[in-house]
Amino acid sequence: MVLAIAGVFFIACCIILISVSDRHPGTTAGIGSVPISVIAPFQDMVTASIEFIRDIWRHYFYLVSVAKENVALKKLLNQALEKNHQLVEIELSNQRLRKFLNFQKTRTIQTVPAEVVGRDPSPWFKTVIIDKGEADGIQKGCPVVVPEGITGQVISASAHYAKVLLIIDQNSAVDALVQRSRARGIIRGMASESCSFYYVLRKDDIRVGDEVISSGIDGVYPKGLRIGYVSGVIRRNSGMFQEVDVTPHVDFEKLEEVLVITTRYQNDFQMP
Amino acid sequence: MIPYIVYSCICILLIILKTSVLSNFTIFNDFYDILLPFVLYLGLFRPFSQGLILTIFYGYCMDSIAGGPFGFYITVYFLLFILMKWTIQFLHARSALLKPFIVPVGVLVENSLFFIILAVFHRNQPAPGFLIGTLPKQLLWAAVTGLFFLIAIDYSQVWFSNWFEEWDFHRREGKS
Repeated sequence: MVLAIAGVFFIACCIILISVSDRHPGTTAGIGSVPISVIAPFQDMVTASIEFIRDIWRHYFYLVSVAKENVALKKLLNQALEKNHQLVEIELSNQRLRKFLNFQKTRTIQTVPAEVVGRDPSPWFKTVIIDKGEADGIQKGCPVVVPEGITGQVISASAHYAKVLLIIDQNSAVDALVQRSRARGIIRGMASESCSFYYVLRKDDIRVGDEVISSGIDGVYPKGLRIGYVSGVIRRNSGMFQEVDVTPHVDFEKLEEVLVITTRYQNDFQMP
Repeated sequence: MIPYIVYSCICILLIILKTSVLSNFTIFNDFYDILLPFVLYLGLFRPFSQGLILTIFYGYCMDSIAGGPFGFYITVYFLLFILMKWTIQFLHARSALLKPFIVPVGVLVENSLFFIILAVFHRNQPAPGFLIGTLPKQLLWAAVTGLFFLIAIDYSQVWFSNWFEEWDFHRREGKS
């Protein structure tokens, strides 16, 4: 009888703990930092060993198609250089226009490169562990990006490791807008490799293939970072919003290195 | 004390295996929770106090590493442990007929508990179709590998117990 009461009490405590950590994720971050500090160095070692073996394979045995790839890449590089030149021109004109309009000076973004050392053990949640922590200037809430676009944000950090919530996790939310039509909404993860674009008004013009970027209004992600492209639109006869599917540009299966933005982002509406 | 250390090391090794090794292979994307067979084994074959402490420790480690709300794995593992203890009052756990179904049933119960928790705490969100899609794959993995896991754990436990008894015997003899 005593055991049964103790069991029920324990379950009740756990449910309260789940409720608290679900509504206020930061409050329980400290409790779980000890196992991360113990397990993450081993994950780091194992990942480094796997990378070493993979590198040997890539650099010594898998060179058959490299010559062909090299020609194609050189072609792409030339195109990219040309595009880059155009973008430099656009950037210069943008700076001039910003000066004219007396806009807030664009801040220099500081980033810390980090390596993914572990992934979420459960198929239901989408997080990764990176090999940089508070000692490297990483704090809870820092946005994490890769050249392809937004990856996620730091949800907890120990001294040398941090846990990153990916944008495809169902608990993730990013304020976003469609680049072409400026339609706004919230990007939420679906725990799979795609996201949903919530709260997009039915009147907004959205087409398959449209680029979706961060709006910067959430105060977490800087404005203009790429998220993904619209892969499906369902506009029902009733209801205020339309259903929009977004496929992220980032391939989360192959995520190996990331950049953590350590500069505290402030949008144009916040006081400096 | 030594069994606790051994089981804790196994827990850490399995978490590293799942998060840093198996995650590199797409085929294992829908593999079930790798600590689950251990929790079931602890519930079925280990003494109550030892099993309970280790079950809570396993849950704590998983909660720290996974991205879900803290306490989710502790709750799920605890409930599975209690369920297994209750089951062996009516069924013979070592029965060859029962063993192949233990891990798949455990996977089913774990997923059901996850759905319940998701429904309670995320009422505004529809249950993602992905979660329903991944369950059959997890069950298939459990049906194929679950029995081997249990046999391997049982065999290792017997081997370790024998080794430990022998070591302890020699240690005592050496003292006297």
